Amino acid sequence: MLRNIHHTKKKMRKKIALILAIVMMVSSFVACGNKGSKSGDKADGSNEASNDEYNIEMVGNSFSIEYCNINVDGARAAVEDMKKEGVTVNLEYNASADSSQVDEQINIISQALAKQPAALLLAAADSGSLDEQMIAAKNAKIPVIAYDITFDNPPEGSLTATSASDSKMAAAQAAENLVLNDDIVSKIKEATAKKPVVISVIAPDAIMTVHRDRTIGFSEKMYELCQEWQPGAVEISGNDAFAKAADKEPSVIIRTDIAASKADEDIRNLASSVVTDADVAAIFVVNEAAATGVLSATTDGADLDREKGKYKDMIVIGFDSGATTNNAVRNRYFYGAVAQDPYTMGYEAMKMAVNVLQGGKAEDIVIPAVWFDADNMDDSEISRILYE
Amino acid sequence: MKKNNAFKRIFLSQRVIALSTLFILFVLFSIFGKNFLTTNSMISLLESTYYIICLAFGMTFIISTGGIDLSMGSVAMCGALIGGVAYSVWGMPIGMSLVITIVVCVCFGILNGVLVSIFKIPPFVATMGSSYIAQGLGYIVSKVQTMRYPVITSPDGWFKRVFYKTLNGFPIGVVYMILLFAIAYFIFRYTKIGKYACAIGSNSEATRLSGVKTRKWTMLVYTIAGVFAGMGGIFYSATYTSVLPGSGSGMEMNAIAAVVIGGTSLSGGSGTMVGTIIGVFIMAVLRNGLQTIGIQQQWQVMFTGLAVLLAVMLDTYRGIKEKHS
Amino acid sequence: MIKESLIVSMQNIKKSFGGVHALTDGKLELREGEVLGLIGENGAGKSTLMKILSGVFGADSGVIEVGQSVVDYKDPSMALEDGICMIYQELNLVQKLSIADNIFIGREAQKGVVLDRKKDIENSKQILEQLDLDINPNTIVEKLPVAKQQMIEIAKGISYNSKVLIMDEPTAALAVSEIEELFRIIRKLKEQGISIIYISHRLEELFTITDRITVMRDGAYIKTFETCNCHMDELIHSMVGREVSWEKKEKSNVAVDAETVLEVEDMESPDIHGASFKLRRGEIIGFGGLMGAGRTELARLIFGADWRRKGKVYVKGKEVTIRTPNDAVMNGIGYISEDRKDFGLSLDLSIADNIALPNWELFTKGGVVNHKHQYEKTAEIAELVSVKMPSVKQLVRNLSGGNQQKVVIAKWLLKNCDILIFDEPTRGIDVGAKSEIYDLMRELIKIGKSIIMISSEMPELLGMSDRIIVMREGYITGELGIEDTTQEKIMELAVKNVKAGSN
Repeated sequence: MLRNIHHTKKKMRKKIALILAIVMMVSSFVACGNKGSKSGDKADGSNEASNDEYNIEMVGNSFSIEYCNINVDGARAAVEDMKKEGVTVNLEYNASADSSQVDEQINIISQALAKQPAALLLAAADSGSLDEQMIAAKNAKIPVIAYDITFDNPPEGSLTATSASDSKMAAAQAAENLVLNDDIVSKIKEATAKKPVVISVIAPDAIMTVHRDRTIGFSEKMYELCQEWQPGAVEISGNDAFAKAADKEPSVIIRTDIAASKADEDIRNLASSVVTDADVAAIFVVNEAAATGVLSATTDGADLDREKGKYKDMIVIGFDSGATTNNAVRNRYFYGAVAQDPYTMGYEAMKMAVNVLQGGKAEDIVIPAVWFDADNMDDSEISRILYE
Repeated sequence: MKKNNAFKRIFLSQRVIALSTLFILFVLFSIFGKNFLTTNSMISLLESTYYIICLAFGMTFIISTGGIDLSMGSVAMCGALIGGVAYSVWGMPIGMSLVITIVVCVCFGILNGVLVSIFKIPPFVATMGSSYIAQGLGYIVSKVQTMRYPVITSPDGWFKRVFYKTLNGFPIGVVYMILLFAIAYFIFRYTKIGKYACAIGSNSEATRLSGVKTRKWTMLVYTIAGVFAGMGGIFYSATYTSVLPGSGSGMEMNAIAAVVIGGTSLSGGSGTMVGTIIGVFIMAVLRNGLQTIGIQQQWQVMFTGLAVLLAVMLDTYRGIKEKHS
Repeated sequence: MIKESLIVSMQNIKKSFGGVHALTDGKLELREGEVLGLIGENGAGKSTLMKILSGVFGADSGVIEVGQSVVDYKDPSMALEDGICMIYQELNLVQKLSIADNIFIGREAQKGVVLDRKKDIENSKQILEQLDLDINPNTIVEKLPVAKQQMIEIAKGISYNSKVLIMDEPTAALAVSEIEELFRIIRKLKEQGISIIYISHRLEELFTITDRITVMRDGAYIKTFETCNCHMDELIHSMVGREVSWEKKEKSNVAVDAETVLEVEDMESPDIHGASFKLRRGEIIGFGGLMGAGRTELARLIFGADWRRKGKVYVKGKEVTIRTPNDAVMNGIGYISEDRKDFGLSLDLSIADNIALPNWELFTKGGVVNHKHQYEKTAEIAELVSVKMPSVKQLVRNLSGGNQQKVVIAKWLLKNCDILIFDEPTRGIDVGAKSEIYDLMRELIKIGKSIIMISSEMPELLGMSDRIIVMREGYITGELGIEDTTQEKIMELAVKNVKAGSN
């Protein structure tokens, strides 16, 4: 009996040792495999070894979002294109789990820099906290190309170029398109302090730079546009960070509605309280998550049906293309949306990096955003940039 | 025969297994990783461990009492966030904001202690509750704004030069980690706090019937964990500059994982600070090392999971073995 | 002829656990349709015998016949198949499930993969009716009073078509009216031809409900009485009438003028009803009584481990407030629990750490622990009580029961406690170590300590105590000087009905 226990103990010990060994072996195999597949690895990874071969690191801010992966597809396409011209780029991509994990992304950036790449392509989760890494890159003479996300205030000389659409400008485009709608304009004109009209901006958070920029871009443009019809009676309310008071009792209220957390149910709750608010005439949703929230608060958009929907007069504008937004626009649940072009961002960022490495001039590239609605979304020049 | 057994036990002890695993991983990545074994890479590896080390020390205390603290990450971030508000909104000097960070975390430690020892709420539930409270408080005080600490080169950035990295690039945080380790080790090994923590974790009722004021000591342990959470908060803001509202939940899971990998049993009654440090480094080496061999983040998460499971399996296996002996 | 009507016959049953002989000569004969009482002191082997019959564990040797055929049950389900069902004292019901779910747990009626709850409820209703119980089978068990839960256990037993029901102390948690209800049901079962083995300490109940009573002592069958022509004295005598192979203490060793070190006055809690007594310097008071008499509960009250309704404690003439174990320890009272594993020791800690547990201030200077000093001092005290160990760094888990007990004693000695409460000091300890513990207790008395000793073993009580206090159901039923104590007197007080025969 006792001997038996002893025996099984021994067996177990062996099993555990085996498992440990397997894990070790797997990790080392993966290591070898990776090593083997790369043709031109330099032992010291230095960037001076060759003129037409570069190791470039790309760091994204969310490995689970399709948009970010399209950035990478664009960059990869640029790598393929340049190969035809005789330039070899070894691209390595890594990203934090999601865009709120600032610390994780900083660790990834530090590690990427430690590999001493020829250049770094970077979509920052929080550009304001990257100063030290940017300085480190500058000191190591590694050019940094920002893509998708612009830097507010990078340390001098650390940022080589940016390839992004201007979020504020793109969001302002949404505001400009909104006032092309006659219904909304007449509502704004008719609004009084007693019976104000509310234009809501729904954002999942006021933390991420892009969401802040889109919120600001839209609400301030709208503020400016509405002055024409209601001078001095326009205010921006909601989140304190964006607030702008009116000179007198406001008739037009641009309200920034920020979700309690980025959890789906919180966004949905917020959206349902907004759509049921009779004063709300229009909604701008700053991203796909907010769009999803509005749709699920309106019976998957059915309540926004132009003919028989419960809220058929409510105008919703989206930002970014994506399966949800595209579908809502196609069904005319959404009035339209502003789309960015992540593919071109990635593509141009990569091209710019190589251009700089080859001694070319560094230039910021603004990737234009595009307004699309049910009528134009199938036009070839627009459908090209819409992604699911 | 008995001697031989003791010998075996030492060599099968999780601490030794953990240490050799760390060593093997390190060697593997040094050989196969691209630029793993470089000064820059090592410094960035060290820097990524600062705050988690603090949390893991606090966690070791709590786990040795047989408890768990699911609020630690949220609490640390809440402290750092409110400290940030004190600095950038209320206009307090940076030193004051660091004190506030610690105070907030200690308050949460006391809250946890009261809930667990006086109201007898199971630690799992009590700390889960305070985790939400901490997140909520952070949202409210910060008005859901990201708080940015001053950058290293600015005058107010002195705290980064003191706690994180000197201007010539020396990772000075390491010095504090050694200091904190010494303190944690000392408290755990050489004061009543550590002794009673293990006794409570091993058999809380027997300890109470020995005339030990178990409530008081349990509370003290949670309070100490609060202090460590506060240190974690400070090192986080020194290292990462920005503190996002609502972040931090999940950090304690990393701390728990490190503690478990290091060989502290989740059932309480024992603990090892040395093991905890090793656990933290195993996770850090895995994370950074896998990246240097070109494995992406999503795989690293999975490997951490495997490491935790292996550690717990070893722990259970040892438990079974002891019962049979 | 008689054999014909026997439904269960157990002969020469032997069973030992490790080295301990639980049963040396177990025997039991149960007739069809009778209620057989089974009585004996704690540890007489009743439960072991019944567990063998119901298949919880097998016998080492002996013959068991159920309904003429020899059986050898490997597990309880085999016994159930033969219609033998045991109802344990601690009920085995799932509190959150309904009555019907509990009765048919593990053998629910099914239609394909879907549970056929309707059928279970129907069947439960039938069984409950059979017992004249008017309860909705959908009721959640948790919501029923204990007495009703017991009925449900019985109903569950019947649902297996049991022919033999074994009830282990079924009335322990019941009020008088509830006991009558239980008896009514037992009689009803009897009418239906079901045989019942009824284990109880309460003699008056045995006399009311049983047809015959079997007495066991020290793991062996003693005698079976026909209830109607049996006298209580006879029964008690056969329960305790062992040959005297040990020495009884002749007289108290306590000086006549010894000071009172501990006085307990009117202790009351939900389990204890107004207990008062005095303990003098150098005295050993033995607390006798059967299991569940409230002795441990009283000890825990004195020690501050549980909440008390009222009661005062005086130490050396001064009233002291004892609300927590810490207060008790500060007043020099140490408690050595009957359950070393759960309440006495931290098994995963070393000997040194266990002994140090209430004593850390001895080994700390300015809050810093001096391990060297700790090891020296604890080793010294552990040697004093002769713990057999390779080193004080040894984990307590790896010590024998006797050595573990010595570690607990060492802990309180180092704390310099003057009053020690020993709760079953030799439970689970082998014979050699037992006498060592006794010697140690005598030594303690010599150096001026006083001892309260709770014991369920007659030889221990009579051999060690200067005075014996007997309890039953939370009441102190009597106090005996050692000079005029006999086993019979103790047993009589232990089974005495407090409410009926209070003096």
